[in-house]
Amino acid sequence: MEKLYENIENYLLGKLTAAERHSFEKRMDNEADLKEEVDAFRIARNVVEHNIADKLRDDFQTWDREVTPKKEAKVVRLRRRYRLAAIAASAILVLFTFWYNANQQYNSNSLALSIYDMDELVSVRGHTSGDTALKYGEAAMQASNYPAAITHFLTVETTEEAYPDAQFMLANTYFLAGQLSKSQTTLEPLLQSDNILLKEKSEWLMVLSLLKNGQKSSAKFQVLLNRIAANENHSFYPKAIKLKEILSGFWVKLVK
Amino acid sequence: MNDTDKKLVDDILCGGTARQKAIKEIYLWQDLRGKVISFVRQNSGNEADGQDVYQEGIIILDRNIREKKYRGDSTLSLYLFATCRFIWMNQLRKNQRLNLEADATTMDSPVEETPELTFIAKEKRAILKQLLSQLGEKCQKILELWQLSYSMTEIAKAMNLKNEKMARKSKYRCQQALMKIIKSRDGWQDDLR
Repeated sequence: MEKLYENIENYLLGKLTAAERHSFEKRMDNEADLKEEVDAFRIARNVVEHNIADKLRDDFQTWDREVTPKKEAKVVRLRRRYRLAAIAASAILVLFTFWYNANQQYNSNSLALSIYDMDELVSVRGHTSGDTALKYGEAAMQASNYPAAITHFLTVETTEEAYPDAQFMLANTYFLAGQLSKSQTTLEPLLQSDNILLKEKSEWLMVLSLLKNGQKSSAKFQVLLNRIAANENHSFYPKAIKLKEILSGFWVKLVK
Repeated sequence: MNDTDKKLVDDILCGGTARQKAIKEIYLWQDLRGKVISFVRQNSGNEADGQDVYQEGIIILDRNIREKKYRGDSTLSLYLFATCRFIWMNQLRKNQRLNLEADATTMDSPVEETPELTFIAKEKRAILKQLLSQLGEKCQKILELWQLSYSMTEIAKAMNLKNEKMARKSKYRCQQALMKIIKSRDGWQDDLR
């Protein structure tokens, strides 16, 4: 019987030669018992494979948790929270100013990257559809795998609720990947958004994108930065004020 | 087969942690996962369907590698994508949401190696699970190790058996027990074939 099991397994795994296979199949045609054994053996393998597959499914969940950012984002309706975060961030900006002076790195690129705060900008969740792509895209973005992040964000379709957020995340990814023209093009429609928070975040990211791209003397940059800095209710008002101070400072002019 | 694919295949055949690391590496191919999700979304599915299909594709890839059905004629990523595409198309066909004309067009995509699908339908899974639960844990483990390509020496070591001969004997007894469980189920040949 042990030998029979071995033969059946070899047959099922395609390990028999053509001649052996032919002979085995001929036997099956004539022996109903053998045919039944083969059927049962095939099912037995499937039973065990089912167990192996189940363990893999558990592994998939574990691996997903590993790549998903620990901090679960929430639906951000709290503009006040943003104001507080912005005030706290402005304090960081002061520290940044000192650090920056000490290191004499007043170029637009490093300035924009230093001010950029991914946690502050990328934190929108809770849609009826499109969240999975956002989750995987965000995980890839945080892991600096920008091509993968871009792929995920682009899978969210215009009809989906998550589309504006996906576009904003896409603009962030382009920004981080140094594809600044694409970042700005993606942001343009979001500047007209009815969602005030998304609009303000897009305006701030546009400022940083223009700065990073060496366009701090452009009219677009100046108008946008001045508009944010003139609006005390804007979520990024404190940061805009601080950025203006930095840009008018001695060190920035020195490296201009 | 390129060197990267060869290493992954060898690791899967090796079993144990090497297999698990290789499957994890494949699972985290974000570009391919995105591509699969896009494909599913473009064909009447949603993101969750895409994620499921990607996972089922990897389960099939793992099994096909272990059973030597993947011959290395195409890259692993191409093979996995084709597998996922077939899974989704089968699902659509099953749901009668696809007309044959559209199906034929999609299936014509250039794939050097056609994945062999040993896909266990969801409805059968519950029965298989129930059958497995009737088998002792030790037997479950021995048969699992055997199907994960462990040698008899490795199985003996992992299961604290005296030697290779004992491992072989245990494996045979476990196979016999499982066959008996299967055959004792009424209508097994119709339900599970």
